[in-house]
Amino acid sequence: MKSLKRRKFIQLSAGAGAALAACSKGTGAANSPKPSFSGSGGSASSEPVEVGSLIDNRGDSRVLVVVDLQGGNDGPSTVVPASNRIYHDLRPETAIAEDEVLGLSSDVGLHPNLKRLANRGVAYVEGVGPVDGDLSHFAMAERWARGDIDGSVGQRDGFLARVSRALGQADPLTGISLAGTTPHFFGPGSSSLSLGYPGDLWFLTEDDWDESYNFAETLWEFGGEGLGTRVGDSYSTLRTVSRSLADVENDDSVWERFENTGELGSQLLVAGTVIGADLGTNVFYTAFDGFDTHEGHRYRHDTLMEEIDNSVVTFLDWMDEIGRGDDVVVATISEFGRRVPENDSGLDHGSASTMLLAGAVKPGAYGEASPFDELDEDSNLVTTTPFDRYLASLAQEWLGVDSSTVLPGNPETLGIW
Amino acid sequence: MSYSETDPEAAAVAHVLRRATMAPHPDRLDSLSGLEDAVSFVLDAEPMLKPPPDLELEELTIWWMKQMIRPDAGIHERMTWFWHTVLVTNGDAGFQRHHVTDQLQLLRRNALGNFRQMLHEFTTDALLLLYLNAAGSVAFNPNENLARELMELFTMGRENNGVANYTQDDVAAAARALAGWSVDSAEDEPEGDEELPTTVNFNRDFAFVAPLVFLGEQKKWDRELIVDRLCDDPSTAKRISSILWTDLVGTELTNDQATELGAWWQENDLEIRPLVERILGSEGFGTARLNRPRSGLEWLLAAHTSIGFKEFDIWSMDPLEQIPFDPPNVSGWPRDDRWLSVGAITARTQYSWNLVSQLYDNEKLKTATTEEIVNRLGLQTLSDNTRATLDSMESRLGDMDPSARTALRWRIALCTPEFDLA
Repeated sequence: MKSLKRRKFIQLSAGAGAALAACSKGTGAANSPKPSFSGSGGSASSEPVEVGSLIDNRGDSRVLVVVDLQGGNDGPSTVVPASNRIYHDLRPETAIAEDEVLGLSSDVGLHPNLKRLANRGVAYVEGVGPVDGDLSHFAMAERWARGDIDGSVGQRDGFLARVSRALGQADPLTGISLAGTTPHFFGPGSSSLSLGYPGDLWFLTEDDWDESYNFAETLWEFGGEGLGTRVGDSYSTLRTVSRSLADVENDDSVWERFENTGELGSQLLVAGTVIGADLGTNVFYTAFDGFDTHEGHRYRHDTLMEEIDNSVVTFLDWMDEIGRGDDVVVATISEFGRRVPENDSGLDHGSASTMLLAGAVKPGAYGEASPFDELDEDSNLVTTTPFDRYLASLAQEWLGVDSSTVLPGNPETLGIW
Repeated sequence: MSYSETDPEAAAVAHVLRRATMAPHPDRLDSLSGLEDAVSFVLDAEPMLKPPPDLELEELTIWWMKQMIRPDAGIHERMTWFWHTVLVTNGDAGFQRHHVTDQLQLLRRNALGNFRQMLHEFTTDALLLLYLNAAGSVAFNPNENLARELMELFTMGRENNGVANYTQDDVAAAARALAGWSVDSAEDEPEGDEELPTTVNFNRDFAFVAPLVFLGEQKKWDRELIVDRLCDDPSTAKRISSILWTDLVGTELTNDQATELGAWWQENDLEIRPLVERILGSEGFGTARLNRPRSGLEWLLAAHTSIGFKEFDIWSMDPLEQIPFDPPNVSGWPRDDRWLSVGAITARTQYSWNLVSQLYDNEKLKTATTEEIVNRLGLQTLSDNTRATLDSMESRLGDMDPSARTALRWRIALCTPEFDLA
């Protein structure tokens, strides 16, 4: 069923298809000015909402695209300690040979399928993980989502929701999840928007046809009551989004670029379109599933790396072409790494892992690698960079959000930017 | 009756059908009257048990959804789905058609039965063993996936009122105790396309047979003892009954209330039907209206049922984010107001538009008035804003042709904020 996801276009009726063909040729020459948001979005609850603060306005036009490698990405299979004997000893089935990797330094090399990314230049942080870790996907995904480094914080808005709120106040378009509902964005001031492709909303913007015009104009009147006000808020946001996307020319070449880039590519295509439409979005969350390689690690992980390489580089090249390359950073996260010793052909849940950064970032290593001769009691890599320091760097150094106002504690930044 | 008035008896029926069935069927909205009548209907509805054999995953999923919207479907369908949202599996994990069919049949067979019995069957089910890497797990190097989720998601939960229920050592011990199981193909596979069903087997050679310490007790633990121990734990009854309470009533229980409900369920041997009857008969149930979002699947089924369209297409359901046997992860789907976010509402708006396009020339639906549509949708309780918006829509109909008018009425009715709530 997975392969059916993210289809290019849902065509339920011939009528809808014909209408789409007619309107995709419609107006769309000029970008609209940045829409002003009416402020009816955000929380319907009466609880006070914490809004983080900014250190400066560097984040105004900057964009962070988070790529969540779901399932737990193995660090040593991503930035490979190719000359490390212990790595090869503990991974007889899955280790990557020294002559296969794309050299980064004398000790490590990039996964062989990250060729295009290697050519562009990539920054990496090894040993990123929790303090007092946990081996459950959900526990660790939630902890990353909240910036809860040691599991002591409990229920709290998502870190990305907080960053978005600091940058955009109540505008739910400041942070957008392109991968459906997610704890990372849980909390007011952000939204999810799962579009198969940017033209999906044509029927809300076709002003010359009574049926769609009357439909859309009626929708915008819905306000709701009680819990229903959340629906009314969502219609307000949808109105803004649909109008802005309609102004972006639906250029076939954009679609062609992303052909064969899979699930991640289709999300990055929408991200690029929204960036091009200038909706004021600073944070995107994308998710790429399949990293839970308990079995058949080597083959599966090789394929995943190839998809990252294709989709991320396609996206960044496009951003360069539209003049936004200096504003965009792609940063990976993953709930945990994987066990160092193999479980036959696979790798069980681990702890620290390696994060990649590409786009407007100086290539190279940040932070210390996790030592192979000092594994923890479960035979996992120990944390050398607590993940909240990594998140703090994304928030403060890249987006100008005071990290102490969006993360528990006051984690130090890493000096990436 | 019109959409500008509220009939309290009809509103009560719609409430019960929204919560205790998968979707309010228009025939039942017509035939039932008042809360008690509706609750009786729901509880007395006959289950229809068996999925047909040899369906592919997608066909089976659609077969299941068609059962959910049968006019005579009641609490049995609701609870079958509920258990799938708690005892989560992914259909892609199976490698033969019967794996998913068997899992669905397991849920249908036990939906109103006994939780302990269901959990014993669940932990020896091929699809689950494959999904959580327990098939082929061996004691000298066990896979921890099933052990962890069994405790965290299927039974006790990580903690009970702030106190941890287990440690990583307990997970490791349970993983050993659960080792030795496998899903095996028949030895002599016949020539041709026909596949013999696989079997689930326990092989002592790969099991851990020495004593282990699990939850503070040292003995020779095995799968059966682990499941029984987890079912004996008060945290399990408390957590599972609280999830069901929130699903049916929409509110969260306080810790004291949850403890009390769990203790009561434990005394009743984790029998499911009495628990459901107790919750539906509680004072809170009747009045807790439109206080939780409709999930993606609930919304889809309500839309199809009300418009009388019984065909489903898995592709077009994807943006609604709730396809049976395709959960986002083993913790299942959200149970909160993320179902009302702009992403969810965008997907529903788009789906409403397309669904009505498909029925554009359906004679039966061509002439419906807004009142008729609203009643068919079970929207007996509307806010002032929604009423005003529907009036405003009527004033736009002008010189649109009759089909276009009806299409607009249907699309807008499906998009009312109330239709997004349960």
